Amino acid sequence: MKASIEPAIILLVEDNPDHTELIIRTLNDHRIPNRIIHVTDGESALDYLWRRAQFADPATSPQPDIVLLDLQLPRLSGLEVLQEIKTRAETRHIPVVVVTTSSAERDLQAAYQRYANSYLVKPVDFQQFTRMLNDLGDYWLDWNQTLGDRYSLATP
Amino acid sequence: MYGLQMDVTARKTMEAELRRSELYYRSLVNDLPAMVCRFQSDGTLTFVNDLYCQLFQRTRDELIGFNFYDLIPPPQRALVAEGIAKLSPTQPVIEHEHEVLHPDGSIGWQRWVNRLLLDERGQPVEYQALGMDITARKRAELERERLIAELEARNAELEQFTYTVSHDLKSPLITIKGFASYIERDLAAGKLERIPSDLQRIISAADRMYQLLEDLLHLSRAGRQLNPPERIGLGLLISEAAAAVSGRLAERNVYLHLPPNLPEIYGDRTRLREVFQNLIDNAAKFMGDQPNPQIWIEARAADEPHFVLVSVRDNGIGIDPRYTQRIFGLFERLEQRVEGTGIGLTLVRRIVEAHGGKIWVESEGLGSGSTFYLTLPTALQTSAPAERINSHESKH
Repeated sequence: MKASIEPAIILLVEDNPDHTELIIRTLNDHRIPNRIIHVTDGESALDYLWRRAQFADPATSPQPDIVLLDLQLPRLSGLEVLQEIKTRAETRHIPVVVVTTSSAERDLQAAYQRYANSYLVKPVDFQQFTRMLNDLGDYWLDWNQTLGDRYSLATP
Repeated sequence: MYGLQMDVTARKTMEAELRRSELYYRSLVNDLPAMVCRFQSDGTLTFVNDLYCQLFQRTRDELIGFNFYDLIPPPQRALVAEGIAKLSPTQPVIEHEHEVLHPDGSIGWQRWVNRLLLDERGQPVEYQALGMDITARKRAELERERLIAELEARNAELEQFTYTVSHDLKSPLITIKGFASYIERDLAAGKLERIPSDLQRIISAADRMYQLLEDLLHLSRAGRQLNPPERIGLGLLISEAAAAVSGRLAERNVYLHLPPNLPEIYGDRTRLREVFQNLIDNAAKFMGDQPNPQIWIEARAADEPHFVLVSVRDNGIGIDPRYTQRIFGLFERLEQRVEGTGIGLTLVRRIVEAHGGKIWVESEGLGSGSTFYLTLPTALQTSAPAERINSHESKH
């Protein structure tokens, strides 16, 4: 478990405002302190990760510990964003958890082919929805060790 | 004396046998339910049987000395000649199927067995061919292939449809259950502040679900039930469509350029009006901050005969070329800030395709406007597109 008292950084890529609110409320209640950066489309997600445009300042736009990625996004799709993240050496170490309503075989396949770290289907039942997000927080924000901004030291 | 007698008898028997063999051959050739002909290497006919004359509706006198390649559509001639050129003493027989020109100008199909005739020394004499008319079978085959392709396309469409619908209908359910649970919790805790806004989210999600269901029903009807086709003045149709969305045009101060003398098209008036209504509304919706928003309609003959190519061009926000395919997908929306479920262009494509036409969009990219192109059947030829539409309708 982590000794750090710094809040975990979550990049949430989700275009549905209601689902965003549900995810943020649930994660805000999580025992692990976290800070959620929310973007509504794929372009902004990539801008954030590569510190472009309004996300240029590393102080205000820290490297996320985890990306929660919806697949159905306007314009650039979630799969395209995933592909970009996993293709670039600077970002491919960041865990990307797909969080989607789609349980379609082809989405699962496409996501894992693009090296998604995990694939979660949003449950319709709210008790399960919160349980899933709490478990997600426990695993990815607590147990899991990420490189975060120390990645630059680790590049060969 | 005796010996000569023998010779004459033998010759007479031989001649009788020859005549009989000739009779067998002639009756066989004439009664065979197949076309028989002989020809020289350049295609000049030297013999044809009755059925050959019947099928091409020409007399034997007309056909002898005539080149049979003239009975084959030009694009197929090389193929036939290639087959015949392959014939040799070591490979004297070859079979092939090819198109032929029927006397009424229609295209038929025949299957032929071509043989190189060799004399007793093995030298080529001429060619013999035995043919059957296989037009009915070939048409059935082509029809079957067309139906299979259509079925596959429909299956793919259905799969895409199920996929999209399951996602898009599930989404509002998650919202409704989620916020209902928060309200329940907040009520139990006596925290009332966010209940009104949570309730509003639930109501909006339910409304959205209802709208999605309505749109789906509309879409399913639009592709299946076409009204009987009629001749429609394209100019008038587009004016009607523009009138139906005049609110949006006025609100954005959009100028619509509609040239005079637009052609007549042929199809379902209500559905086609809906097509232009959607395209014009769409163009007006995506004008961005264009200070002088305009839409230009133009029409010219399409590459495909009996179709007209209509373009709807605007000087609005344009479309990233990467998404010119995706925008026609069900519930796809590139701009979340602009209202709509994302059904409009799916509906448009469905109606255009039901009329046998195509639709696509071209754009130089964001900021440079976009042009929608669609092909629609013209009123010039009334039979073919009408049949297509009617048969399409009756299949459901």
